[in-house]
Amino acid sequence: MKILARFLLIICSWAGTAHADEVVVYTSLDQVFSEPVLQAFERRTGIKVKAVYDVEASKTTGLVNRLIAEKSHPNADVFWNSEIGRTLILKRMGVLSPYVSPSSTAIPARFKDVDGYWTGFAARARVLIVNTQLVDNSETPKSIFDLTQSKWHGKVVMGYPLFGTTSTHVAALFALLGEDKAKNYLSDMYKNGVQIVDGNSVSRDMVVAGSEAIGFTDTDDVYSAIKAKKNVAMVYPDQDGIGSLLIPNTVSLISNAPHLDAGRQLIDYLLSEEVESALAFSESMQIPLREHVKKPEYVPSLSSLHTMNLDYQSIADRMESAFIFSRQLFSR
Amino acid sequence: MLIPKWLTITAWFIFLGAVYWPISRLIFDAIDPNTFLINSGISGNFFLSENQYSLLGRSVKLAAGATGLALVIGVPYAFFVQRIRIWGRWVFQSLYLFPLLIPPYMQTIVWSEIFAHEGWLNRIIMRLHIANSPFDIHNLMGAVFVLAFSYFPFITLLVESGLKNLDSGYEEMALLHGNWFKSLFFVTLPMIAPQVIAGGIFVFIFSIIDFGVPDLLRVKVYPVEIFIEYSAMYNERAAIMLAVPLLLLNSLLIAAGLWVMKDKSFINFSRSQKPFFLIKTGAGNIVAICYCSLIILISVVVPIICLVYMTGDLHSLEKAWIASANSIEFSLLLSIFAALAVVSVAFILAYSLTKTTGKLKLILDYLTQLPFAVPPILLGIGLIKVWNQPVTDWVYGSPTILIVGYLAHLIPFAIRVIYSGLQQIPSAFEEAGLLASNHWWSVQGIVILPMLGSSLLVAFVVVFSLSLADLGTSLLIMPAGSETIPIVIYNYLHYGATSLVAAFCLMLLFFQYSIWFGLTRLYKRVNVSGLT
Repeated sequence: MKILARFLLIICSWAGTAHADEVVVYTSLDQVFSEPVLQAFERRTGIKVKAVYDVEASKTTGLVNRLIAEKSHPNADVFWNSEIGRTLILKRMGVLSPYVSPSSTAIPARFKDVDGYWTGFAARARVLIVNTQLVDNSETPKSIFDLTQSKWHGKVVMGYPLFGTTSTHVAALFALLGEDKAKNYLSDMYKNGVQIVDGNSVSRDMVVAGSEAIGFTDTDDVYSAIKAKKNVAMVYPDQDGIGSLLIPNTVSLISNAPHLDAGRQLIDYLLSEEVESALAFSESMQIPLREHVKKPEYVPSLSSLHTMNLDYQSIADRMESAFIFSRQLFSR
Repeated sequence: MLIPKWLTITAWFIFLGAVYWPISRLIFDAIDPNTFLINSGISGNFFLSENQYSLLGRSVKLAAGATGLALVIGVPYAFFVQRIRIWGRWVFQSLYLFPLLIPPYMQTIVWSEIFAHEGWLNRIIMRLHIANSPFDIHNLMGAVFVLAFSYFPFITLLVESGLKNLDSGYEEMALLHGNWFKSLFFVTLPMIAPQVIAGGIFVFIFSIIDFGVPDLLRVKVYPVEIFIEYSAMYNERAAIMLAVPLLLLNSLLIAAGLWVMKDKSFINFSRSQKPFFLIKTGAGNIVAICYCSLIILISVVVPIICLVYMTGDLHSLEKAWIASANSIEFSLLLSIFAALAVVSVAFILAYSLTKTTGKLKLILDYLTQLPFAVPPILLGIGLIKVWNQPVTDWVYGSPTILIVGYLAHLIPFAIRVIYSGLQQIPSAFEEAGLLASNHWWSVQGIVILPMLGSSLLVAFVVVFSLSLADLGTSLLIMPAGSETIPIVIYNYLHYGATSLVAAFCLMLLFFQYSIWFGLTRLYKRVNVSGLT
């Protein structure tokens, strides 16, 4: 009878629709990192958080597609994106609504949308993961451009440039170098036998396993491998050149969100120093965008890094041409 | 007609609403309303690019390879358990369905640990200085291997049914004029050819639309192109148009399968009154035992042992349980409700099919099987378009949308199984039931359903297992605040937590098997033995 009662209870709860004291958030940050933050918000405010997490299988773009498909009748209130490129596309497609959070005051202007459609916080960086058993310390490449050299032929792995942060990285190169130079660079990488895999985690796993010597990935992926005591090192590339690409998390309010007030409260919380600090101390190793936020020593400060000097909007502007070129070049 | 018209109409309404409404909506959206011409969105023309042709070719190769290998595994297996009096025959008859409980992505995880470039086997070989990493599963052959061992039970199930239905008199006569070899090749195999072909078609379609296995094994296939158009280029119309060749191919194959089978029963769960054995003793028995044991070893024993090894210790299991208890409960309940819904609707549809004749029957039969052809990602998009409306929030905003999705995706198999069961019930039984009661539900409850027990049970278990393992459909329509266990597994897989992933898989298998075992025991206890 107890089981039956539980069944009935669950059916009733399934049939329920949105309530005023809840907030729906779609997030592409790994669940292991985002869930504790959302639970803390729930405990603090009493607002129930209903989350949809992205899955690696959908290449961190599944939620964006869903938000676009749901545009006429949104279900989500907040989109917490672990990167920025897709947020800019959503802004362009009219999925987002402006909201300038009081928590964002101390966040540098370059990480905020001028119209308030998105705000950046806690960033990751695009880095190289290097297998220390296969690559001698003296030979470790300092720049992504070194990887076109013949000595790295067939030894480099990269995620498919149509998905995830790899696509943002490629679009950033298009924006920073100009289309011709970026295309030449990618073509040289292709000629040098760069291995294209499904995502950053596969890049990391292949380098960890020694199948490849060097991989393009993000700081959180490398840090998880270092923490697991694998023989790998993290390289922030181009510190003497174009700089490393910094990819902040972005948070946005959804246009016509069903729970506007709760959505704003969640955004205020996500942009708080407390959350930036928690993400810095978590295994995702996020870099706080505010200098005075508490962080562990192994997380570099923003000022200690030479980052790519570009306007994030220019990444969105180059995304389509970068997609088309990458698709032609890397389609197998 | 024993089932009232209103109930039949309702069932067809649900079926069409779940399957054809989302698909029709997608097709209408892909048509330019101004010109009524289909706009391909692929460089402005209908033709695939060279790369896309190449990917389509690779997908066909993958599906053909998986089908070929599944036939090599499944047909002899069915023959051995039906036509050779082997020791432990009932064990082999039960165990071959077990791989259906192990989802293909789980098989991929396991075999990647063993056969990857840096996998266990290569490490052992390298330690012995025999060769330098001779195996690598991350290629087309690896995907063929995994898909074949995941789907061969469908072939064995159909071929076994064919052998049960076969009039053994023909084989006995052939034996009088020659040996068992001649009887097998000139009588048995030609007569079960329709089941072999139909089984092969099932495996081909499952393999060609599969996204998970090639994705995990880094093999680029055609469904990835559809995914790219939708997920990277945000071009829904192009995604739909790219799916057309796949839809056409699958639709033709489904039509061919139905044509080959005609009125034959796809699946037969009856026990033969007196099993007919072509070979009773001798070397044939040893070969059969070795062969069946090898297949079970590869498809069931090795994956489970590997998962146990990968889990490491009880602590991982405990950790996995803490991390996923809610998702497991949610997934189990969802799959039970989905299986109940699918089997209920499928029963009424299958029943109405048995009462239909002529061309209408052919059309309806085809319509019920066509959903097999639809890639899950397209179904997901269609479901969002149709159900994400203010008036249907109670569906879209709750796990009910997942039940609708599973129904749309899995009902063809349930209809096929139940229809086959209904075909084996003589109409005289129903007429006798009518003499005893005027009420349709009494006749169904007392006469039809008990006799259909084994078909309903298999349909339930298969739908339950496939729902529990589903990722493709649920990925796009998962309601906020809910999470199924395959999604948890994929998340942890990305995070590199191998021991937790293995622990999740083991728990999933345990619950699946417990429910299967429990239902089978319950079925036997109420002494419903199907047609004998």
